[in-house]
Amino acid sequence: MSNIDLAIMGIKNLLRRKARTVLTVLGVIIGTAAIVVMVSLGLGMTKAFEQQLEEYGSLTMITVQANRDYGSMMVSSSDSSSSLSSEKDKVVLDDAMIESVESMDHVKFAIGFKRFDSKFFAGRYESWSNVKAVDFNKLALMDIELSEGVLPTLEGHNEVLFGFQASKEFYDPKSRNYNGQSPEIDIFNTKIEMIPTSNYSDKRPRGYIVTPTGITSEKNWDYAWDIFMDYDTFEKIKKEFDRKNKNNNNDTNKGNSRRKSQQKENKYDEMKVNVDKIDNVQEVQEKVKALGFEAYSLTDALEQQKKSSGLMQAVLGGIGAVSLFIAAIGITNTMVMSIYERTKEIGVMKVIGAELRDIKRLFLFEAAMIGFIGGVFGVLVSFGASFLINTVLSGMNGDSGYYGPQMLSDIPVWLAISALGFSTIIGLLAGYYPAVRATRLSALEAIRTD
Amino acid sequence: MGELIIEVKDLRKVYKIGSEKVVALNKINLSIYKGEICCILGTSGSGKSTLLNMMAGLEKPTKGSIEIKSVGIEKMTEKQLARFRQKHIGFIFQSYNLLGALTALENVAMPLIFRGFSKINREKLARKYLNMVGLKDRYKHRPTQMSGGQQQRVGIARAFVGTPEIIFADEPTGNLDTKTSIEVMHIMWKMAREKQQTIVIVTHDPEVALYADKVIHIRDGDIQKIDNRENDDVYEKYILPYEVQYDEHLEDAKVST
Repeated sequence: MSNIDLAIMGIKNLLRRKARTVLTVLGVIIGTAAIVVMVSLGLGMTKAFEQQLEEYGSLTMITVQANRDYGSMMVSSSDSSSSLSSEKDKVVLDDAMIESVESMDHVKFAIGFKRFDSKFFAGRYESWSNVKAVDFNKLALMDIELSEGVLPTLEGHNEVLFGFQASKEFYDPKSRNYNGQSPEIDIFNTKIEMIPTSNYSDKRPRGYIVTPTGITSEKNWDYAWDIFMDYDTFEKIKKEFDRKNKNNNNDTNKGNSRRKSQQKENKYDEMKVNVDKIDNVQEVQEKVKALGFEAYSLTDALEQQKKSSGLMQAVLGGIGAVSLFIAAIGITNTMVMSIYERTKEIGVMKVIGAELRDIKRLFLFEAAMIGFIGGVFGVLVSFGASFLINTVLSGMNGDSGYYGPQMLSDIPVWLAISALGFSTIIGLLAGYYPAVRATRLSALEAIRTD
Repeated sequence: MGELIIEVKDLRKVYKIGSEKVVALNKINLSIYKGEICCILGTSGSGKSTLLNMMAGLEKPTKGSIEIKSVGIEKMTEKQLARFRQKHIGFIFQSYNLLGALTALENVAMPLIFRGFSKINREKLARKYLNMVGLKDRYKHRPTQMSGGQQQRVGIARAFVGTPEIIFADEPTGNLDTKTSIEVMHIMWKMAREKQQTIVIVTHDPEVALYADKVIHIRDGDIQKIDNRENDDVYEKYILPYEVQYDEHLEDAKVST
């Protein structure tokens, strides 16, 4: 029996029982649409999250934390054994480390930061902002967006870059009714002084004048509270400051003790590693972790989101799958009923020359056809439902886009095609039992039935 | 006689109904030759239909063997039997068993579908055979729109369309009146003779048996006697007078063949 004859015969058989075929197909439509819409919501969610993450900062940046500096912090001398072992394991974040990270595959550049305790003054206002010391030769690589001014360089006098929040952190210490409103200070036209420590006794030491050259963009919260300063410049100022204020500085002892373990000291407390592609971020991150650092990136959140939305999709898809499963039972039921109705016909066909294979194929084809037609309409219904969700529900968000992008439900081509394939296969599977049953039918008994 | 086509040896069939055993066929031995028109004659319950069903491979014998073209069909699997029937056997039923959803033409073409004939070829052949049975103007009719005699003629066309070597007919005239029965028997006789096909007819009607070269009388599961007749005998006695009487049918048949 040729395939085309089989198809014609099968379709004719389906058309002969229109009502039942339509009802069975309807079940498959609902099942397929349920799965596709559910999965599309999960996919839309992931897509929305990705877009949102990109607003938080670069997805290709890894932040590496230096290990705690045991030497400088107050490790009790009695705890020497653990201090020894940690000394041995300890990896430090210094220029050599940055160079070795930069030599890794996929790494575009690595840059080190260190946050220093400091205070800033602008006239009668002051701010507890910390200095973030960084090599200004590399600052341009970071691609920091500015809302005002230019990036600082090494040429001017103690140039600094203000995070947009840091520029608003000034307050008047003498004001009693501080109402949280920060004063409007034009940092470019105000004399800004800096003291490289916030830890001084009652008398305020003489500060150093710095020159702000720019303010970071308000779109990026990554550097909002930072005040960038060149590492070497800051180091120089701090040394000079320490020397001048040696007598009334209670920090000297600590400074001395730190000096003892100086051969193993973190120069930086944070490192940013830029990777060429998002796909390689996790790989580089693992390598950095293997060196003995804490490292994280926005892709962690993405991975996490992917995991949880994968779970979500599985749950939602599962709900859809239940309805498709019920539809499959419907197909089986329809085909079994069809055998009862067509018992005599099957018997006659067997006697006049149908092979078992022909009977089996005929029933499988009819069942698969129900699945396929249901799949086609199910996918069409899903596109409609997806369109409705996207227009109606997104419309309720307004134009703010606060709840994420306009797309809530996303049906990629692969989803549509695999849904179609899936429903057809479900039809085939559902038709298998009836098909085998039809072939097992005794021809003689089949002919005798009425 | 010519070549041996069906050989039944020591055939026995016992049905179990509850705890009771019913012997349908006791010990049957018979030989049928190529081109023979053979009639199994018996009353109802004699076991004649059981014998036919076993020869067509629709039932398994309890004991004994059936060889068709020297192949033991009692040992064949369902799959092999289906293929064997497709290639060598045609079947005519008492209640016609046409497919109600299909036209006369589609019904006749059905066996050819399973043999993989193209639509054009099988419809050409089906038309030819419908013409031969005198249903030239009934191609598009459905079974419900035809009389019993016409339906049985469609059934005959369907059995012969693939030119099988053997045709089994189970009470082909059982539902027909005498006049139509004669018509149907005549058509079967003519068509079988033309291509030297073997027919095995099961009937309880002695008049049907008149068309046979060999009549096997069966009673209570045993063969009582076998009558052999000369071919010419049948022709002169039954076919020739019929041809004179019903000329118009023959006109149809001659035009198409």
